[in-house]
Amino acid sequence: MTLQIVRAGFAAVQDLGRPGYAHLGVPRGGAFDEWALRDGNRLCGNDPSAAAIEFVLAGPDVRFDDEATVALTGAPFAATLDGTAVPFATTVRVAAGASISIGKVIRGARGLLCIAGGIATAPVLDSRSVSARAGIGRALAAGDRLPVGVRPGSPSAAAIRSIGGDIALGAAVRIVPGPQPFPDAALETLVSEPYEVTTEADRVGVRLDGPPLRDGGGGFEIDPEPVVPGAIQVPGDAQPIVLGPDAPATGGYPKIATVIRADLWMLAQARPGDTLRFEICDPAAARQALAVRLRETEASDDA
Amino acid sequence: MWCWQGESAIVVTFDGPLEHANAQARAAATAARARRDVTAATPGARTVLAHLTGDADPDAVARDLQRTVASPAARPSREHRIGVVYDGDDLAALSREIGLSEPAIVALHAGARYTVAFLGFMPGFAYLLGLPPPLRVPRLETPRTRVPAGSVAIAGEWAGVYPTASPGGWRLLGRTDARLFDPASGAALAAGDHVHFEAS
Repeated sequence: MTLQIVRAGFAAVQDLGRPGYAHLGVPRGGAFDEWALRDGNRLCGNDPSAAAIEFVLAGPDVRFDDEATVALTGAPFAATLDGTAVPFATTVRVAAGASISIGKVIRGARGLLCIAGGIATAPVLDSRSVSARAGIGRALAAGDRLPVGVRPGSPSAAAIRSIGGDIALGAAVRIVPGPQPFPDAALETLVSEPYEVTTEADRVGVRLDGPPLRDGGGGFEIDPEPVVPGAIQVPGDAQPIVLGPDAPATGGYPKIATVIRADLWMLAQARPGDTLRFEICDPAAARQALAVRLRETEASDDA
Repeated sequence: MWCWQGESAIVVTFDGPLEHANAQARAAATAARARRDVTAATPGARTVLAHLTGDADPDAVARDLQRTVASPAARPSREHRIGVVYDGDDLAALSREIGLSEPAIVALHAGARYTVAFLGFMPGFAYLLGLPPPLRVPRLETPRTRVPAGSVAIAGEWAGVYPTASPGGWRLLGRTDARLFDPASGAALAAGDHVHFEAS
């Protein structure tokens, strides 16, 4: 079973990434909006780790050589199936030979096209995720033909709470302070002032613009150490950068805090010009929030 | 000393001279991986990042890792020989800056035995400790937008090789054909391994 990329937009294959390979210097990678991937895979009856097509701001046109079941999750995009509007965050049957055309984003930034069986490109270090900047795979191009796997379960009829487009609701992004010590005043500034997403926002990192997080001296570096996606680096210009899934596995700038995993999707869905607010979260509360999100995306459909 | 990085990982920091702190960090990473309450552990220059299970006691993990004794026999290390053509773009400027001839720089760089401190920055990029002190110079003020794959480079206390082309600010001494990262098989070098550069 295969599908064909007719027009690529800004798209690449992503799954849950390579969390076990940081010791090789390999970025974690994977879908930036993890919950959109898990939601889509649940709808399609896939394992949570099945690969999908992630796109940002403008989606691809995809022709299906065989009958397929798909779901669009994450940010809502204008999309049509042979000319008819495709509903968002639900399963859609696609006939052999039909095409889905995904246009521009409506709200948020990143969407996912999940397909029953998952995209079955050859895995590299246990993942199909593309980390182009790290030299692992490449973005999709017109004419690419992608294999589709065999789906392990049946598609879900359950309604899901796909949240990708709701960044505009303005919920605070929760952060765990550290690991580097910053003056109390800097942390206080980070959680009390709005920060605007700049145009330098991609899968490597999202650079923010707001009140400086140091007194402007700048240039302060640390011995390089492992970093995780969501870490908020503060380089010499005192403007924070939230690391994304394709960030290098180590970094030499101090980190004031880390966006909790349950909320990292908000960075994936933030567009240049959007305003983010941060809120301090206890690690135990962050683990609780993660457990709740995981339960929501793994809920059984047997009932 | 330890601190959270996110909700499920802790950073344990080792003090003292870099080479000693790094040996401890590497030993702590190995010890951490053997623990039931740690799911993954990666060393940095002088830290270890340990991902914990939900029921782990972070104080206890950090205390144990802090007490890890670095022992040279803890892990069988490999010796790697990397052939280098010493014709790097920064060799001449470095020679003027530190007042050593280019052959003297090459002799120093190729005469040392390096230890892989950790991997980071990009897949297969090994941070090497053991650079002779006369060669320790700051990074370029303005990084290059593209450093070719195989570039053999130095910066501060570090030596390294760029496995693939990337932007970079290290000083370029030469180039190698050695393949340091292969998506199919992973990285050629591992933390704790030793590296020798040979002029070819």
